[in-house]
Amino acid sequence: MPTRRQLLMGLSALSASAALPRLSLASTGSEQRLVVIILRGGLDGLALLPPHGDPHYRSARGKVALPMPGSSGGILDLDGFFGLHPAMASLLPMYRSGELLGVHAVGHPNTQRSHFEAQDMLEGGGASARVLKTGWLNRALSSQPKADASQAIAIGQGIPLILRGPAEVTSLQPGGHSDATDPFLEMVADLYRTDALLDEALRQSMMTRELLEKSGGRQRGRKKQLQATGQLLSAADGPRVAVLELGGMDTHAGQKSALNNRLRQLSESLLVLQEALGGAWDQTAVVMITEFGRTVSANGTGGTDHGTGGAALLLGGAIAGGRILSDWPGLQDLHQRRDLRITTDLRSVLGGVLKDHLGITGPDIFPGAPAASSGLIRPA
Amino acid sequence: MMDSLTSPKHHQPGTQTLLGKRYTGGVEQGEAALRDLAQHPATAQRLSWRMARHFIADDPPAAVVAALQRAFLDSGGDLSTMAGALIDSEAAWEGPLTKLRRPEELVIASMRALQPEPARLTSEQREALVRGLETLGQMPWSAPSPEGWPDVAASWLGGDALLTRLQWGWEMGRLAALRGIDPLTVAHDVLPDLPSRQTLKALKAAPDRQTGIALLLASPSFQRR
Repeated sequence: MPTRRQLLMGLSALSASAALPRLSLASTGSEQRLVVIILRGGLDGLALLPPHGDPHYRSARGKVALPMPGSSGGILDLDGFFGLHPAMASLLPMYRSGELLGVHAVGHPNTQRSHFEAQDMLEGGGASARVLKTGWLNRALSSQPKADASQAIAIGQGIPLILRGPAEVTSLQPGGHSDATDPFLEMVADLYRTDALLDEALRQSMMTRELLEKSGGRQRGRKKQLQATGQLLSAADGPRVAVLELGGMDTHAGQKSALNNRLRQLSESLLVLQEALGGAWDQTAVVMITEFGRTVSANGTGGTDHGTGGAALLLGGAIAGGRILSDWPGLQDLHQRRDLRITTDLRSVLGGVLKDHLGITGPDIFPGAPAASSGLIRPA
Repeated sequence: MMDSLTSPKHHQPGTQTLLGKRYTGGVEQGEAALRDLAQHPATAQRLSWRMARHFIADDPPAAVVAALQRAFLDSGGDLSTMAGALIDSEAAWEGPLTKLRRPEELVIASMRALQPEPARLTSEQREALVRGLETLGQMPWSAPSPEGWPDVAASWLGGDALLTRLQWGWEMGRLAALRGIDPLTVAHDVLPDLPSRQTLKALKAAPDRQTGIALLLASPSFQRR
């Protein structure tokens, strides 16, 4: 078992070499572990947990509807109404053993369909964007006398809003910085399409740099990072809170194939994390959230656009799982005739995890939000 | 007005012939020769073309070059008169922006867009500024020859140079995003006429601030001036 220092140095070297998910760590003073995975871009909740039991599922979703349970490549049924995206089959055992819980039609009531503002609300936890300059997780940790803020570490890329605030989070800045990501370069390529000079120059650049080889390395790097995260969280004197950021969920085009890849990678990553946590898995809650869901129907490029209500996943030994919780609004009465309605404030869900899993409550964590949900965490 | 020294040890004595004209004397010999060179039509042609190429386009419009040339000759070789003619020339201001920003221009323009108050540059930003000049190949005072820095787009886009620009812009995006800079605000307030509709659309679709800012810096209109 490598030492904590070796793991940290290894992690920062990894972060410097490839566009890895951003990772930040903190300590709570207890044995309960919390991992927050922020999926940036707005993951389609209706694809993550498709409501195949809703009579309007196929007609409403059109080109982005997934095949029905039982058919080839079909939705994996969970409870007779909701299912799991077929690419996440490797997580089925977790659901069956009661360690995976889905919440649907969740979101922030004031959500804007802009990534920046929605992510501000997701991480800030305030009533609207740019109101709070600190993150709900930092506020939660700051309220704990035993929480050791000096154990909080952000690796590589600075500290995301969710962990910014009065509790000081150390930043481990490796010498270099992360590489420009593939999604970014794809967007640049798009912009350059009508510009002969830059289009050609980009093509030439890419060939010179042999990017394809690099992206292979990036996959291995991501798994290694999750493995190290799990090991760090399971260490006796290690941190107890990790925040991971993943991108690539903004599926405006080609959603079916994009999500097949992304969600499969995501499941594999979650399993790597579970394995690396070892015995600590029993005391772990992983919360996977995104800034908004997407439009119910498909757009003209086989994708979906920014929406409102979405889904979140809770996993871990500490989770009272094996079910999907939702006050299901249906696929007919849509928000602004385009999006899934939000029937549960995501902040109640997050508050519920903080309260029942970490014993942290307080009016400052999610000011103005509805009461924390209960029953998400397995009783001790 | 010129100050010059002669070093008798190195000066070849006697009359010298340059471009068919004979020059005599010591210091006066050199000064007279330089004065004639400065006002030579070939000099006027070259300098006016270089000035137009630097400020307007890699292949500058003939009308502008001609106007600059005239100004140069009429003023007896005065560069500020030539520069004035450049500013006065309507043709100089028409047409789309086509000059690719050289690394120094790109780095400075990026800094100005993201941190309008130079006194408040953080040490990270300062490092990013120097690193930009270094990796993009235009460190101050290290031009490859007395010709100065290359002045055409192709010279700055060879190999994987464009990717290096994008990578640097990505890093700038990271630093700016940490300060809560919003790319759409920059686009509207700091650079109102610059981004194209296509660029603005891309900014709105950007999944996070870092990507948005990096996209703005990468955009065709920001890469040019």
